[in-house]
Order: sequence, then structure tokens, then C-alpha cells
Amino acid sequence: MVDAGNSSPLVTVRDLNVHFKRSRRAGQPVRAVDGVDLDIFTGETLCIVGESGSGKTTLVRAIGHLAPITSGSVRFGDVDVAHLRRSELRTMRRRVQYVFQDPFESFDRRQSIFSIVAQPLRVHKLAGSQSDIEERVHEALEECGLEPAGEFARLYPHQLSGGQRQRVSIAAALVLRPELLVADEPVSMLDVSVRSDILSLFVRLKQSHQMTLLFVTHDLSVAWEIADRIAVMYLGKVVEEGSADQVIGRPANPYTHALVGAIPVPDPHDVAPEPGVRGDIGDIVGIPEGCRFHPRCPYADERCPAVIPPLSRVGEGHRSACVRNDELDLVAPHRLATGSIG
Amino acid sequence: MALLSISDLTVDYRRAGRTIRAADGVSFDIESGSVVGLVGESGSGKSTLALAMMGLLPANGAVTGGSIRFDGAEMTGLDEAQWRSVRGRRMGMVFQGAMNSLNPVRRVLDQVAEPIRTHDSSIDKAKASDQARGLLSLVGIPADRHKAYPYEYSGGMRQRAGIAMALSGGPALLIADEPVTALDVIVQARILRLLEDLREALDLTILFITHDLGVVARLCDRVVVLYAARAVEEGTVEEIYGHPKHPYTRALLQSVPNFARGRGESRGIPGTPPSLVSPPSGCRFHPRCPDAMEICATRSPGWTRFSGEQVATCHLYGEEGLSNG
Repeated sequence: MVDAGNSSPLVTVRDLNVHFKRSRRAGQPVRAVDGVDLDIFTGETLCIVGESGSGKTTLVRAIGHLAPITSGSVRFGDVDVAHLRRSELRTMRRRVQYVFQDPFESFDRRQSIFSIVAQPLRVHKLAGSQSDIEERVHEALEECGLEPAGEFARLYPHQLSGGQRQRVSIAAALVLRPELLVADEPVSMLDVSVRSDILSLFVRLKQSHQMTLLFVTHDLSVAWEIADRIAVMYLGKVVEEGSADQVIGRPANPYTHALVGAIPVPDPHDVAPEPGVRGDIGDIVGIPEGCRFHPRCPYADERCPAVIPPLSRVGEGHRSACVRNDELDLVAPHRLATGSIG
Repeated sequence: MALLSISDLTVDYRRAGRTIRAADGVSFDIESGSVVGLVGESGSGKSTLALAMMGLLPANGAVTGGSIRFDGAEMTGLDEAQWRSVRGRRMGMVFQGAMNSLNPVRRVLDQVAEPIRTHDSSIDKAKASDQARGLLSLVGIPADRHKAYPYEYSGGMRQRAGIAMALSGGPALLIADEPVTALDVIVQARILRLLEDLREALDLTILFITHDLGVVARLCDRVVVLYAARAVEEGTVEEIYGHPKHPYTRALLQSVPNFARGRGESRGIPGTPPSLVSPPSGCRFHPRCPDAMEICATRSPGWTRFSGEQVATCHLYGEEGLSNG
């Protein structure tokens, strides 16, 4: 576990906006990411959690220069991601590697596992001799649990299970030795019995390669398993951030509280109260004035449609965007393992 | 009495000249008024069982053994016309993608009203429309949205409309196949609550098919655990979650994140779910089982009955009473 207070940020995001123009009818652009401030500390696992439409994927894509930045800044180390020169872009792409949700779609079916994992080395011209490539590919496969590497290297994607394919995409990201590994819903298509091994693989690789891990998920129980810190997004904004224990154990923001309470827990005695939240994120047409959650919020009062609440401190390293931060004392939605709240 | 009784059911698919057995001697009962969870991973056969129970197997699939008794009548061997008098009436269905059961270019109200008249021709149009409005309100769709088109609905509203349609025939049994899987978690929780309320209000029996052990814990009374086309354990939710007997059930519960257990303590099951084209010999879980013994590779275990209502098929326990055929 990384003590965020003692570590320096690898990535600093300030007032980031990513807006997309609607293609057909004119009107308001889609504000996928809207005024986000975020620090990602070196060596930590930060989970970005949100429902569909929260902007979590767009945010992590913008960090790696895969989504157009409308305004604001993203600094990666000493690099200004919003104003990259072509020569810097290539280096940047190597330092940040992505693993996506669907291991079935990200591969060319005709490519062997060897050439899938070797390709990034070739694209980035990091490959020396053929034997050098081979060594690095085999090493990456072994580290991802695909042993014996020589045998797996000769196979094709259709010969692998979903979990094995996801291990291949992790190996293809790892082979460039990135500083930041971004994983966007990497286990949501997998069977539950293979998910947790993939999650612990991420944690192990992060440690052995001294990487920073940025992990996107809609599933707070996945975040609970691996995150040092969690940032919760709702309609383009970060509404709460803090340690995993803070955000899941003592959520401060009414939205997070509803989200955590709604997690179905594999324990028949843990019956969280039904969220008093109205409607669903998809019922919201356009972006509400003031706090974006107020039309659905059970605690909203007359200030909420008028004020956009800033993220403000509710505890050590714990911030929530709610005008009622000081008034609400939300009941912990689930029983957590004793001693795990730090 | 059991509303639905599945007994030694076998379903085969023919694909590229080969036979794939997607349900292999599965038996369980659903008592009237209960909510039963059918749990399994991919390749467990849970969707095949659902299709067989609804008479919706694709052309290359067929029930090749055993029986499905619903409401006291045998369902295997019914022709399509006979199935139509059951499906959508005494047996309602809700699927994962509600959009697939809704016609995108017809108003929701009309779509819910139509089956009411199909099922009972004595009902006139106005009365059917009234009943449909009642159902849509019952599932939580506000009156001013009843006449909207499905594309104007959010995912949660569509699933509510899908449930209203499933209820239009006045079913005794609701078969729900991954009905909340595609939904965001808050919407999911509200749909689960809706199903609980409907169960009370309409005295429904529900078969809930899912891979999600959390959803089952919240909603179901009983659980049937499937692995590689066979049932391996069955019992009440308290029994299965409190003291699982089958090593697969134990490992499956251990693999799911659990707030009460602490962080980083979930463990995956080694290997991958087997292919039904060439399933393992003996107990199908033996290649992945931490407790496997020599006998497990050669002989399929029979059922062992434990205290209460719990049964499991595993060589760790002696066999008595029931047999697995």
C-alpha cells in the first residue's frame, strides 16, 4: 500500500475537460469529462469507479492522449500531455500502456501469441535481435502466468480461454515496461472464478515492475479487492475520492453511498437498505444545473440545483463534492471485515 | 407441491456432426411461491436449461432424456402450438436485453396490452389498455411515460417494461435469465427490489438464472449450483452460503470479493471451466478441485444428503439416498 501523502504524483490532472460535439443535431456538446482534478501517485493503484456514462473511460483515455483534450492540463511526469510534440507522443505511448475490457476483440485472429506480444517492441523499435525479442516475449508471458511460454507463444487467440487471452494482453502491455498501466474493465467479461487471479496478477506485476496502476471499473467490489485509492465519477465529475476503506467503508457523498449500498454482496445476512435514489443515470437528459446528482439525490435541498459543489475535505485524504458534507452522517452500507478500516 | 419439476433432464446440441450435451441428468424442483437461483459460470448449461424449460431450444438442440413437469403437466414433447399456450401465460419470461423483447417502433403501452388480448379474447381493447396501464404502474413506470417508445426509455425502464410484458399473461412462474446483468448497480438493486415486491404482491414463483452470487444472496430462497452441465449442489441460501459442501461451490464463493472477508482475500479457481465438447471424466470438477482423489477421475459421484435441505455430489462424502443416474 502506498502512502499517498509521502509519494509524488506521476500524473497531475487539472481542470480537465473532454467535450464531444454531437454529430447529428446541434446543441450542447457532451461533457464527458468536465473540470476534473486528479492526482495519480507513483506506485499506487487508483481505481476510477462509475456507472455507464460517468466519463471514466474518457478520463483515462485522455490521460494517455487517446482522447482529445478540450481544455485543462494533464501532466505526466514532466510532460504536458495536452501539447505533445510528435516526437514526445511516441515516448508517451510507451510509458503508458492500456489493457482493455474485451480480450476477444483486441487481437488479430491470424496473429500468434508470440507476434501479438512482440508487436509493441517492433512498433516502438525497441527490439534488438530476434533472440532478444524472443527472450523479452517469453519473459512477459511467464510473468503473466502463461507457462511454458514457448508453447503459449506458438498458439493463436482462439485456442485460449478468456482469462488466458487477458493475460496475453497484459503481457503485450508489460513488454514495453510502462510506468503507468491503465486497465479499463479488464475482468468484467470474465467468469467469476478466473477474475480474482487476474486481479492479483495486476497487483503482483505492479509491485515487481514498480508501475503505477490506473484501474477503471464499474464494480466497487473489484475496486475493494485491489485499490489503494478510489475516485468515484458521476456524469463527468469526480464526486468522491479517498482510500478504498474510506470510500467503501464510510462513503461521504450521497451518490457513492447509494452506489456502495447497491452492491450485491454474497452474504444473505448483509442486506443493505434500498438506495433512496430516484431514476437511473440514463433518465437524465442533458446535464443538471448545480450538483449533477441532485435530481436523484435523497438528501438534496434548495442549494443543490444552484451550486456546483467542489471536492472538499471530509477526512485525511478523503474528499467529497457535496454542499451537505458537514451535515450528513451517512450510515455505513455494509459490514466490512474487522480491522480493515485504516 | 412443486410448480416446476425438472427430473434427470438431458439436452443435446448437434454441431458440426458432433453431439454436445449441455444438460446432463439435471434434477431440481421449484416449489410454488419460492425464488430459486440457478447459478453457474459460462458453459455450466444454465441458459440451456432455461431455454428447455421455456420450449425455446434452437433447431439444433433437443431434450433427449428426462422430464420437465410444469403445473402438473409434462412439457417435453409439446409442439410449438402447445408451447404457445403455456409460454407468456402461466410462464412469463424476462431476459437480459429487454430491448430484444420489445419492439422499438411500437408504443410500450400497446406492446403490453397486446398479449393481454391474445391470451383472453373476451377482453376488449380499452380494458386491455387499462390492465396494461395497471401493470406498467405496478412495475414503477410513471403514467406519463406509458405511451412512450422503448428507445425513449433508459435501460432500467426497459427492463421494467420487459417485466410488465412478462406479467401480462398472469404467470404463476417467472423465468428470469440474467435480467439485471447489463444494468448499472443502482438500477440493478431497484429491479431486484421490484421483483421482491412483485413476488409478494402477485404470489409469484421465480426462477432466477445468473452468474452473480451476490444477486442470488439478495433475492433467492434456494440455490442450485451448476458446473459443466450438471447440478453439483443444492440447498437453501443460508446453507449454501453458510456451509457450502461441494468444493466447487466453496471455491466459487471464495473467488468473489466479499467485504466481510477483507481485501485481497478472494482466490480464483485454477484452470478454466471445461469444454462441453469433451468434458472431464468422473466428477467434472476434478481437474480443478483442491480435494480431488483418485476415484474422482473415474467415477461420477452420487448425491449425498446433509442435514436440512442441502444435497451435493462429491466423493468426499458418502453416498446415500438419491442417485445421480
